[in-house]
Amino acid sequence: MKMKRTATGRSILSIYFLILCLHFFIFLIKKAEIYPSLIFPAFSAAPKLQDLVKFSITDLYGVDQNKHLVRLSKESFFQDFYDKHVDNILNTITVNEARSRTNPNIRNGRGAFIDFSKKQLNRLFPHTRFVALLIQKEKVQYHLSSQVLDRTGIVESRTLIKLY
Amino acid sequence: MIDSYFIRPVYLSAYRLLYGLIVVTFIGLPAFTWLGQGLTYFFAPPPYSLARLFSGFPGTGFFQVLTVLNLVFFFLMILGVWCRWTSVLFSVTSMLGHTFWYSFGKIDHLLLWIIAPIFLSVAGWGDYFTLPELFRKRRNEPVETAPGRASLAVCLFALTIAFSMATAGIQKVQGGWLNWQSEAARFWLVRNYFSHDRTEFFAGYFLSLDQHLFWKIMDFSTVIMEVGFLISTVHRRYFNYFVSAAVLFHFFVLLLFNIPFYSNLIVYALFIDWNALNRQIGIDKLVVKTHLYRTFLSAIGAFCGILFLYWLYFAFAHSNQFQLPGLIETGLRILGFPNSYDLSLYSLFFGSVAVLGWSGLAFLTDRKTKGEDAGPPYIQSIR
Repeated sequence: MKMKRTATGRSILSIYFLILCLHFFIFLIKKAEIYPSLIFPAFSAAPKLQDLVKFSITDLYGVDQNKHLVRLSKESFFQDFYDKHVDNILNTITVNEARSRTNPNIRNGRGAFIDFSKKQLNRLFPHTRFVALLIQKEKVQYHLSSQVLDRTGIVESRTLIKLY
Repeated sequence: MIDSYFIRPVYLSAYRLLYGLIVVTFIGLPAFTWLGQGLTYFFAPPPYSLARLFSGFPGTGFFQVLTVLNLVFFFLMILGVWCRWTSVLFSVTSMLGHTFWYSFGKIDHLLLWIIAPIFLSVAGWGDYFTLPELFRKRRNEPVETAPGRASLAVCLFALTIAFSMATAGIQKVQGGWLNWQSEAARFWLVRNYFSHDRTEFFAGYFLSLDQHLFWKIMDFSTVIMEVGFLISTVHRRYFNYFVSAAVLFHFFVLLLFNIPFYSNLIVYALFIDWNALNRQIGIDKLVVKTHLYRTFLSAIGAFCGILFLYWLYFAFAHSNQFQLPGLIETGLRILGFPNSYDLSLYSLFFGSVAVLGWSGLAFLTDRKTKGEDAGPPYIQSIR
């Protein structure tokens, strides 16, 4: 009896393991995220570090009437959102701004986003009138030996969102 | 292999209470009431998810109902009411809500604590400490889940944990973490520090640590720990060693990278040494002493009722909040601490390491006094 039970258990375990492997295999082939998923984040990139560590930083700016840029706290601006995902939200906005011209679904939701942005800017800077938002992705490099972060000024992408 | 994962249903039921206690104390439950149609411009679900079937976020009413259902199923599960069903429904409603929560271009990988009830309800975590026992005139002994089914369900869950860890390790190997010239952990430390402002604890100190050997040890040990987890599932004893190591691993991830990956800590608690805990606090004795048992269940029922009402009120009164606050977070808020949620999560990590240390000491003392191999520290296989 016990032997039969163990054999059944092993079969269930093997089938389950195969399903898990298949799930991981699909992820590796498609290189696309799945939810719900049992695949953990990898932080897989492992560049050779020769004193410089290169990566990008995304910043959010308000543009006032005189075209001056004011750097905004991303977390404060998106205070009603899950703060760990703020950089991803900025990426989504960048993609959607480009697609809103052709995709009516995105265009319809844009009005609510503009209203939201005006409201947030009013809350953060009640005495300044901002006419646009700017999302800027900039390349930066960190010097390991001198421990200095170098803002290179090299802009990877720039998205201007006119509010008026 | 499978039989080594057997945990007595009375211990599994005690774990159900511990699970609930950890959630209500340190984490809180997720609230989905902050989501709604107004956020459709930001809608970017993962390529393979249920949310892909939608063109935007459903209305606020949908998320309000989902939050309430999730809350109801959670408390029914903890109280052991229709436990098998409510455990599954809690997991399903949580996953459904998070499908939309993670539709802003990124998913978090905090799934294990959400799916744990599905496995453990089959294993028999609803056999004891249930509220319906209070309302029976004569207390009947619960019908225990068959040992074969219990050990298989726990074994499948252990495999799930190990597999998840191994997926991270395999991707790291692919990415070049074992390459001697690269310093992967250091690269991610720098990136997290400056891109995401993760500057707390020891992040600043390690940022300036220019020791190639140290960073390579970090890289190699991480990969060995993550991939080795899967191999360790062949026997509970080896698996326990890896769970102990993983508690320390997640603690160091918090200290260096400021990432509180709390989900795993909740499920690792399933593998504590229940026999040792039973000797300390007498779980078995509690079950056989009818009056004490009933008083205990009544206290849990009353506590859950009060907390349910508080969270229900909170979900609607503060509809822009992501989390129904746990007890520590609530206390910290009252005391005026900023970042009370983060502090509450951190306390779970420090608590877990304290338990690990205490268990290690208990193991050493136990072996010294008994002169026998008491098994691995903290987490123990069946003797």
